Amino acid sequence: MPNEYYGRLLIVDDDRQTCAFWKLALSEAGFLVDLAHNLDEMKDFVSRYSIDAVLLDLNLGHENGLDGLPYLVSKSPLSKVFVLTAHASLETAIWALQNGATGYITKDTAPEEIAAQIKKHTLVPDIIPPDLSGSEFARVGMIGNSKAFQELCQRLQQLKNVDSTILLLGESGTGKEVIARSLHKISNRSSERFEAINCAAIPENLLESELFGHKRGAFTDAKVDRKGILELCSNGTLLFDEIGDMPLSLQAKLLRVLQERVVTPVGSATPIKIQTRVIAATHRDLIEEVQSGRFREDLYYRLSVVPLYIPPLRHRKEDIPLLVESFVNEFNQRFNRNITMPADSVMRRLIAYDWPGNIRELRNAIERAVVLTQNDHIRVEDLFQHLHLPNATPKKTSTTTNLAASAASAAAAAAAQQESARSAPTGSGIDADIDEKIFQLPLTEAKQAFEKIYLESLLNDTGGNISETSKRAGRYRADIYRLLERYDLHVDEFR
Amino acid sequence: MTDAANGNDVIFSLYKDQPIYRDLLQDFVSCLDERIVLSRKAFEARSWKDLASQMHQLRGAAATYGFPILADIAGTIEIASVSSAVAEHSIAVSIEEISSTCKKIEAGMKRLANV
Repeated sequence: MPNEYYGRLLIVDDDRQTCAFWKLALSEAGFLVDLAHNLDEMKDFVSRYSIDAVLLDLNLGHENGLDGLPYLVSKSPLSKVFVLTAHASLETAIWALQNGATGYITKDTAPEEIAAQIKKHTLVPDIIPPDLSGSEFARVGMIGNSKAFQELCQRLQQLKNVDSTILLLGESGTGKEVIARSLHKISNRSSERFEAINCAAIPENLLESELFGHKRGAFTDAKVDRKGILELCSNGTLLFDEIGDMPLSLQAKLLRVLQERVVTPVGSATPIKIQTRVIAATHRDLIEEVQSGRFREDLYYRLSVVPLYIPPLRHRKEDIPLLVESFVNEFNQRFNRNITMPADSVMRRLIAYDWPGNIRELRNAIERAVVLTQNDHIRVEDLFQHLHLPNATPKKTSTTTNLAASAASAAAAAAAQQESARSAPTGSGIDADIDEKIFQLPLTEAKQAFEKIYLESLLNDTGGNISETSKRAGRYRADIYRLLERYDLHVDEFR
Repeated sequence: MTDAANGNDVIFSLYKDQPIYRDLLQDFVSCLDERIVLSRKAFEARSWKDLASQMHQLRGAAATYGFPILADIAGTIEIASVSSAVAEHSIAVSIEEISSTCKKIEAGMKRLANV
C-alpha cells in the first residue's frame, strides 16, 4: 500500500473479479478500499465506517444498485456516491445525479482517471479562520444559535488544539459525529485525515484488524498487508463511535494504544508509533457500564479526560429553524428541487415536537418532506408522516399509545391531525400486535416506535413495577428510567 | 487491442504493460472459459434472463480489465437477450464470436506469460 492516504472507498459490485481489479487499482492510488457485493453488505459497511466515497454498480444481479442510493444519501450524507456501470445511459445518469449521486463512471474508464475524479470531490480543503464565531461554525457543519449551542462552540474552541482525549456524551442522533468532525476541521490537524469507526457495528473478530491492521497471512483472508485505521490517520483524528459497545477484550488493547501511543498489527511483532487524536462517543451511561463490569474502569478514565455533553434537540429548540433551513437547502441541492422554507405555522409545529430521535430525526423528516411534497411547499403531513399512520388508535389504557403517536409529542400530533385529514389516525387500532406499517418507517423511527410500545406493554403487565420491568427487559433500572423520560411516560399511570 | 495486423490472432488487455495487474488479468482470463460455458448453458436452456445477467457481468468485467472488444460483444448479447423478440440465431452467432474472442485473449495472455 502506498504511503499517501486519500480516504476510504466502498465498491459495491456483484462481480468479484471486477471488484478485485478496482480494489487493487484504487488501493494503489492511495485509497483504503472495501468491497460489498450486494446492498445488504453495503449497508453493513456504511453503518460501521465513515466512508469518503462509494462506487455503486447499477446492476447488482437481482438488485438494482440505484435502490441503494436513497439509503446512502440519507445514512451517509458525507459520502460521495459515484454510480458505476458497464455502459453509459443518459437517462439513468440524470436520475442518479438528481437523486444525490456525485458522478457517473463507466467501467471502461482508466483507474487513474477514476482515482482523480474521486479525489477531486473528496479532497476539498477546508479553509477555516482561526477564530470562529457561531455562524462560522456552520461552515464546518455545526448549525445553531441557542445558548446551549454557543456554550458547546466555546468548549470546542478551547479544545481544538489540545490533544487530550475527548468523550462525547449524548443521546442518539444529537450529532456526535458531526461535532467530532467539526472539532477536527477547526484543529491544527485539519489537513490530516478524520476517520470514524462504529464499535457497535463491527464484529469483534474484524474490529481488531480494522483498528490495528494486519500482516499478510495473519488469518485466512489476510491476502496482503493492511494498515489499520489508527495508523492511517496517525496525525489526524479518529472517532470511536459507540465506544460503550466495544468488546472487553479489545478495550484492553485500546487502553494500551492510548497509553503507549503504539499499535501492533495483527500477525506482527513490530509496534508502530502513532500520534492519532482520539475522540470517543457513546449514548450509554459509561459509569453504569463500568459498574456492571461491561466497560473497563481504567479505559473510562483514560477516555473521559474531557467529557463533553451534547444536548438533545428538545433542549435547544431555538436551533430548529436554522437546522431546518440548512436541511432544506441541502436536500434541494441533492434532489434538484426548489422547495421553500416551511411556513410559520409549519415551523411552529416543528418546534413544538420533542424530536426524540434528535437532529437525525429532524433531518430525516425534512428529507422525506422535500422528496414527497407535491408542490414547492412543505406540509405538516409530509414532515410527520412517520408518526401518523392510518388505522392506528390507542390500545387499552389511556397511556398506551398507538404506533403512529408512539414517538410524537401531543402538540405535534394534534397539529398534524388538523393539517392532514388523509393521515389522521382512525380505525380499530393495533391492539397487541405491531402494526405492519412499522415496516414502512425508517429504521430509527421504527425502533423508537417499537421501543415505546414494548415498554408500555411491559409496564402494563407489571403494573408499573420498575424492577420487574427491568428484569423482563433484561436491562438496568436506570435504562428503564431513561426510556420513561425519553418517551414521556409516567409510571404512576400504569399502577 | 488486437495483434492481427502482424498475423498474430491474439488480443491483449489495455493494461498489458502494467505489471501490477498481471496476476489479476491472469485470473480473469483463466475464468473466461467458465463464463462462456455458463452462457452456452443459459442459451441452450433459453434462460434469457440468466444469459442477460451473465453477459451484463461479463460486459462490465471485460471493460474493467481492458478488453473493450469482449465488452462490446457481451453487450450485444445482453441487449439481444432482453429484447422482446429474442433473436436466437443472432445470439448463437454472437456466442460463437465471444468464444473465439476469448480464445484470442487467452492466446494473448499466454504470449505475455512467455515474454
